[in-house]
Amino acid sequence: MAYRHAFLIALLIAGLAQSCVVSAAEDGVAFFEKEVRPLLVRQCYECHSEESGKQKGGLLLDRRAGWERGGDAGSAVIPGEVEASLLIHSVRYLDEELQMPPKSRLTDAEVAVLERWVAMGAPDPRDGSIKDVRAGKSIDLKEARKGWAFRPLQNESPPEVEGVAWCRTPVDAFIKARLETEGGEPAADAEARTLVRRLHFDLNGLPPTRQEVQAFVAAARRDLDAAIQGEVDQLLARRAFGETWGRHWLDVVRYADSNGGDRNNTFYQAWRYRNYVIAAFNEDRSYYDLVREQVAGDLLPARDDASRRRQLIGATFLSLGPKMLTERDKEKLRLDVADEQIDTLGRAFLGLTLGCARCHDHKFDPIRQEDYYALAGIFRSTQVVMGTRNGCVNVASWVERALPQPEPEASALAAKLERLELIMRLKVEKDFMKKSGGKMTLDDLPLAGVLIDDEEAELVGAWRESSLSPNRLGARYLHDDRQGKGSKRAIFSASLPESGVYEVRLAYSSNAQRSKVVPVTVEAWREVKTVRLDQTRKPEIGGLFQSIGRFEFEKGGRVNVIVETTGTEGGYVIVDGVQFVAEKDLEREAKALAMMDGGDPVFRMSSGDLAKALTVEIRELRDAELAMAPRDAEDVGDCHLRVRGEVGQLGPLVRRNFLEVLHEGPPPEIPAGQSGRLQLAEWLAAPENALLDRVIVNRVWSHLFGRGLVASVDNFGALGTAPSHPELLDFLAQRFRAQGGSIKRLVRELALSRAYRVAAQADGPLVQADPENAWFGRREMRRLSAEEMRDAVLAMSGQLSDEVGKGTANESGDDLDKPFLFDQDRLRTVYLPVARNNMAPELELFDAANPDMVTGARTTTTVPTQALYLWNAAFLREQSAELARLAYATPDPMAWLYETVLGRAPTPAEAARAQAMLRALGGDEGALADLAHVLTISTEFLFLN
Amino acid sequence: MTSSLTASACHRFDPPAWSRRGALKAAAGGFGAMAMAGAASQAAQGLSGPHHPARARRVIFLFMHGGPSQVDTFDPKPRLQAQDGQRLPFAPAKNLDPSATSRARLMGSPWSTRQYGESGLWCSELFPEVARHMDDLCVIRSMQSKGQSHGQAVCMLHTGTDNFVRPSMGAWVSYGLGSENADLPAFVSISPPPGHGGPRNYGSAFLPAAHQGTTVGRGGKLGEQAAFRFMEQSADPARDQKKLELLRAMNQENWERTQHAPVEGMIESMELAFRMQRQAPAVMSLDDEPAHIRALYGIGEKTTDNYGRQCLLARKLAEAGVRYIQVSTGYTWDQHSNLKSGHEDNCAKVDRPIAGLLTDLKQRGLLEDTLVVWGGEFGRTPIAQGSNGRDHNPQGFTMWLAGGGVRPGLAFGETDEFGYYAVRDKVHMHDLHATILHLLGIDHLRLTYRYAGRDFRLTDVYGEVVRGILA
Repeated sequence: MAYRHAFLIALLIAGLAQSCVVSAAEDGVAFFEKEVRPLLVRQCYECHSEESGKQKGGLLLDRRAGWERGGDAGSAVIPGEVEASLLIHSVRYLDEELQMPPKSRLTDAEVAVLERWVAMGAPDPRDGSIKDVRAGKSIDLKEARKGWAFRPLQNESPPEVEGVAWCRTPVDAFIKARLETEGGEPAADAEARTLVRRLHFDLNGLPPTRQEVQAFVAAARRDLDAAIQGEVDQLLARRAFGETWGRHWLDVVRYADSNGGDRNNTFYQAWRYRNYVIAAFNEDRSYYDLVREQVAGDLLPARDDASRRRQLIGATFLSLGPKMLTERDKEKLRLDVADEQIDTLGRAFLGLTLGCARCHDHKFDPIRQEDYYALAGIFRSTQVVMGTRNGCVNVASWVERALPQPEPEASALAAKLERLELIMRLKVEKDFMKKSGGKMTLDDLPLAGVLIDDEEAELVGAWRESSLSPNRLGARYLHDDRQGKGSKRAIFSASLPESGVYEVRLAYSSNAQRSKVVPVTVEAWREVKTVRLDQTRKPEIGGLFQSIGRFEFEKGGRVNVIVETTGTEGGYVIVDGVQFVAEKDLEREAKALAMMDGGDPVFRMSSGDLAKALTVEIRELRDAELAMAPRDAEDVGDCHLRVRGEVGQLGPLVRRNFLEVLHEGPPPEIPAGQSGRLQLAEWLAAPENALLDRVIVNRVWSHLFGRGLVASVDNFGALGTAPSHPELLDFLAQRFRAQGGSIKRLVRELALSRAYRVAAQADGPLVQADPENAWFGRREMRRLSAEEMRDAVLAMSGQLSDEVGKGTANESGDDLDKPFLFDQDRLRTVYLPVARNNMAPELELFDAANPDMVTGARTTTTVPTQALYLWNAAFLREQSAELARLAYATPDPMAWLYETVLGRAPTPAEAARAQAMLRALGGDEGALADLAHVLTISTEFLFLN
Repeated sequence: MTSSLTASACHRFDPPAWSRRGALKAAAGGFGAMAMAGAASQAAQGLSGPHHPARARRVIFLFMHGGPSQVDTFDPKPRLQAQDGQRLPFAPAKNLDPSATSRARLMGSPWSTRQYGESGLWCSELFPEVARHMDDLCVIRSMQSKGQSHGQAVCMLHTGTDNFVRPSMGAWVSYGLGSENADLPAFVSISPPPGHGGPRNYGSAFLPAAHQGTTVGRGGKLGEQAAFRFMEQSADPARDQKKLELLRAMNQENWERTQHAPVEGMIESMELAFRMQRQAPAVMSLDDEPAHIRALYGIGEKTTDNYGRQCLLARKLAEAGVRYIQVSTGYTWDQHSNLKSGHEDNCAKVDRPIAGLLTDLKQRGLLEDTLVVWGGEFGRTPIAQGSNGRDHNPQGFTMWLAGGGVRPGLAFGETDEFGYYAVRDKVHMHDLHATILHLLGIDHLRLTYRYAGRDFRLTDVYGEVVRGILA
């Protein structure tokens, strides 16, 4: 049909050209004035004229120069070339992505007017220069590099202060200096029992036991500095440190155990990354190594198997994002995945919203659209999604990599993984192929590509059906019966899954009666070629298909293969089908053909059996030693800029590079066949990139002081917050770099500072002068996090397990859509499943990080459902009973409960009140459980000061 | 941790970070914070009411999950009937599977269609009860959306994007207008789908969590007793009373000691929770409704009982002051095959409940200021899939509106003569969103929230109010 349409238009144009060729130029102008101009005014000026003040897509249609230069997508009209003119293309409404006018289609007569006008050579008397309303500000990188976030680390040393006596560490000098400048007095040190609680929650996410409180209070009475130092060192050495601080990082990297998006498939291997992070914090591995591993762990050279294992797992960072697995446009899916990676990488490591530059230059920060696509080239060259997860061609799966292990297990696993991917690929390809019934000899070919049987061809003239030759595609094939030579034609029109080069093949059965000169015409994107096929010769591929050549096709564009009979007198012309195989699949096809000779049954499986095999293979690999790590794609390379971020609107090719505002040199040399991720990782972690250090030390600071030196911890751009103490920020960043990226040393340094010890203040001059607490002269109370709350309750009741959790989500099966409740679990919360779109209420209600997004600072919301949960949840009532059971065994259960839950003894008034309630409720263990419940949900327990 | 600093510092509706006032607002708004009415200082300067007079005070969104077919319901096509079984005379949508379209053939509707009422709007025999209300409906026959797959299109419908994480429409409405009843949520989603984005479709994303939808039921099923999460009746009220007294005393003392605003917020929110726990059951219970009303919705009859109870609950919530109520069917409309029996079943299940809802709203005077919206995430192709099925069709499909501020008895826009592509007065999902907000008195361009360095809105950079359907 498409062929016919094009053919008719060609005729039409030919006719027009003939009638117009003699016309004088004035007739063209007259036609323009009479027919075209009113049409443009009526239908187009609203969005494309100076008068309306709109120049959508960069296009003006109220002057000749407007359509000559065109808009973002290029010239709108090429005089004389109807088919090549975007204006015509868009008003024909054949391309879903470019339809003009956008709201309503023109009438056929109106379209014809425009076609005729273009065919005439687009006479247009209107002049006027192009007024480019888009020429706005351009980004000045040089200037931008002077900003506090982008400049090199400044050499800072602690300032002189008057109150030297107050200071304990260099950090304190910076804090005190600011307070002195502002005329503020720091709050007094918090009480010892407050401090010990603060330290335990901040460093380990758990409350101190009664004994720990007592010991610390006693030690503090002797020497507070020494007591704190001892406590800090102890807490840093506990596994709970990594479980708490690892969780902070998991917030930043949007960690989850399921995909979310449109299909909430379980990420069976994600937990390895979670445990990798926890271990990294506990082992105090260099932050720079962590950055390298997370961005390119799969590409880094490894010292040994243990490192290789760790590195591969680290790279899970890139694969963890939510994906629209059912996206049918695979190029869009690929760019969307790259976008998610770029956005996450930008915010997590650099505090920059790089994602904003996908459609246009960043509106506020020095990030150009070219910068974005320079990175997009790197991530588009990284493969995360592939194949099919459930057998449906529209549901993509993701890459998993075998972890190193001893032989022969290693080879066996590698083979299993390879087979899984093969099954996925075969399944996808089989489903793209058309089956038309009958015996499909095609089952002998490993790759289907896109197949069109003769039943789907448009036939001109009388063709005869036959099934004489068993070597055929489908139930039958056609021949021309050696009659009516030159009058018959078979047209195969295809729609291909993606743009690219394809090998075009024709199916026929050969014998000596066939014609030796069958004309076969391929109408590709930009070329039309006719070859003469000798059908007496046996087809080379599987004895059924013969290659016609390789052609470039555009997705959604012209794809026609036409078999004719002209000049074939004497021989039969056979038409059995057409196959399109993407060029990139040809090598694989050759390999697969070799494997078929080896006898693997998957090649002969039906589509349904492949789906079954897929389910089995995925299940068998669920607990295998795999990492959810990406790999470099087969087709690495630079990426085209996308105009307005539209996948189909190609702009110039952008050379892969790092972010230019942070990188002054030339773009990196990326070896052929590589994505550039390795180079990106090295650059990110290199000293040149000071922003990396600023962002991480600020994150650590924010977790200990309740607010960052840069309050917007994930945004160091213009719309973020300027640092309250820029010198301190750079001082800490420099130290961090000098100390090789040790998080523990940084935490220790901050926790030992005097500034960390200050008490919370309800009111007073400091609160008045600095309500946001940007000077850090006092403590801001905070509510316990979701994890702290649950872990504390279990720890107090003696129920908390000290096991390291593993694949806790895996028991839920292929998706995490079933409701979760952590009632029966006893592991620390960090080990429990994080289900996207379906967070357990224990997490979601109390503001655990939304795993769809980078979350450097959680928000604190207060909603009544929290209160309903605290009051009604079976979990809290059960744990209160457990806690009461422990209390009941002590000499003074009531006081023991206060000390355990609140870290202090009750006042006499409180004791009397509590006893009164206990008596009223029966004075038994049940009454004690009620008291434990009340204490556990009291604001004093829930808020840390 | 801090409350979201970037967000609260920049957004004009948002109370400043943890001011005492802000804490109280956040608490009161837990089930529908009043971003607009909440008179925190910034809000007062920005907006002291809706942007313009509202035509609707609330929305009831009837979501047909899976995608009902337009040519079989409200957009009949004579030429499609005439050319049943023939090849599609133009290129099929680009992003469909080649396997589904390379032999695409037209499939006429198996159902007859006729005109109803004074307006003469078309409706097929699948909706005999809704057909009686055609003069009340404003049928948009030129809908377009983004996303060929359910996951994307469902998210597009609910959140205005097919691939990013963004707040849902109900959350935006809650954020913009707050609740009319401080003891109830502003946004309730009745039996929302667990998949295809699941909670994302009633989530708040980066908006304050208070604005996310509160759910009742799941996956198109209401369940026996409709109840909010964690809301339970006390087994021993006297005992609970004693506990509560102690809790209140402790909290009060803690507040006096610390003077920390969030502590007070938490106390307020606990009190609100206990009030809700007392009041919600009456709103949620359908047992007290008279028999004739229950019958109107088809409650008690096997086919219509489930959706009938959902619709009746929607009316009760609307009456009680909930702003945005979504009523979802199960994921049942996806008739790639079995179109005939599938669509017949689906329509039978919702026809009477929907008609009952329209009647009931009207007789109570609620239809005046309640906007009812009906539709799925996309429509279905006029071309056949297999012998008795249709594929997804976001290129052109039908949704209808009724009530608050829309022109009744109107058919707006057109698809081509086969019902495939929208070609006249196209209404993109973004436009529908802009229009719904407009009817609620909100300018979609001005309802923004700053997150990660950018002002976001429901309609992203798109959306135009569809003036042609406004009453």
